[in-house]
Amino acid sequence: MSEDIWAEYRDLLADLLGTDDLAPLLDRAAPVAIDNGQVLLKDSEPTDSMYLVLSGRLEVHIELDTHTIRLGEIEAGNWVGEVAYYTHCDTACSTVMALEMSTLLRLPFEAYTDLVRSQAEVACRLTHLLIAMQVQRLRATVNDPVLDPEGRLLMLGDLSIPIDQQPLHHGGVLDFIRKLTGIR
Amino acid sequence: MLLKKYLSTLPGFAFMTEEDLDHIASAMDVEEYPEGHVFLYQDKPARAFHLLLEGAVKVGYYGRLNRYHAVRMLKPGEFFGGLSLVDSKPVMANYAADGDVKVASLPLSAFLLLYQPNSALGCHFQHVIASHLAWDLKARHLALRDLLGKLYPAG
Repeated sequence: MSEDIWAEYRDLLADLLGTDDLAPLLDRAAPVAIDNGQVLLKDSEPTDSMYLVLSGRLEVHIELDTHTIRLGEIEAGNWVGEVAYYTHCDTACSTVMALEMSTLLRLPFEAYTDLVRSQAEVACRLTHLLIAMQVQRLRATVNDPVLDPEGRLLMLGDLSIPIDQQPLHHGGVLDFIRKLTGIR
Repeated sequence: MLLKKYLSTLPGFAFMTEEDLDHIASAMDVEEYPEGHVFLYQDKPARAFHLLLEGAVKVGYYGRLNRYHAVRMLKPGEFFGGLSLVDSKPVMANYAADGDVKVASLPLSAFLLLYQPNSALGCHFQHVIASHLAWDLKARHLALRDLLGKLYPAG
């Protein structure tokens, strides 16, 4: 019997997706380990996958030549690389680099499309998570870039959603009514 | 122009069935608006999810001392208002018609019904929203790269 390569992260994954039925996702994914300082995605260079951070910490930059804007950090439980998938672009729109040794779940774009087509419920849970993260990122970054002494632009934003604040379940009719009426 | 057919050409709708498209198209109101019409006001909640069909919509931000900053120009096929509807927080910028425009709008109540992930249609609609937000993120990244280019011109 082969070793369960995901054993260490099953609880995290079950929490994130709100289900113990992880096979549809894990069957299509592969673990990736990267060292401190290693670049996972390079701005404007080809990419074909999105990644879930299982452990460790990553930093996100926009790059042009040798200049960068630091957008923020990504912690465990958060995805990176999904923008290229949803915009049908085969190049990364930012640079993502490990700030410490990190472990990631790699989900190729083709595998995600297959998941959406064949395992709608799991894909929907994943999409729900990705929307929450995109919302966080759109809201997080500030409007006035700050220039540091070395000429690097800083836009310090917390791009991660803490695991305990991630959407663990889907809203039902009550959530719908609360939202419609503005009741929190 | 048949709205259903137009929706089917948009990337985010790739997984929609004919029936899904019927539901969404029938829930949207298509109207023409004059130059300057404001669809979304900065710091106010969105009341509808909009799709620009014809013309252009300018996105602007009122910063310190009420100074106006042009952010970007939306083209036909682009959605706007989704972020505020998803997180129930105010819109971050002003969205106004730049010339005459035609816009299809999905009212808040219909948006919230569609956004429920308990059905195949809801799941497909979430894919549309994820796609819309991803385009917004990408637009922001492109704008930041342009900013770098202006601050540090090559050569």
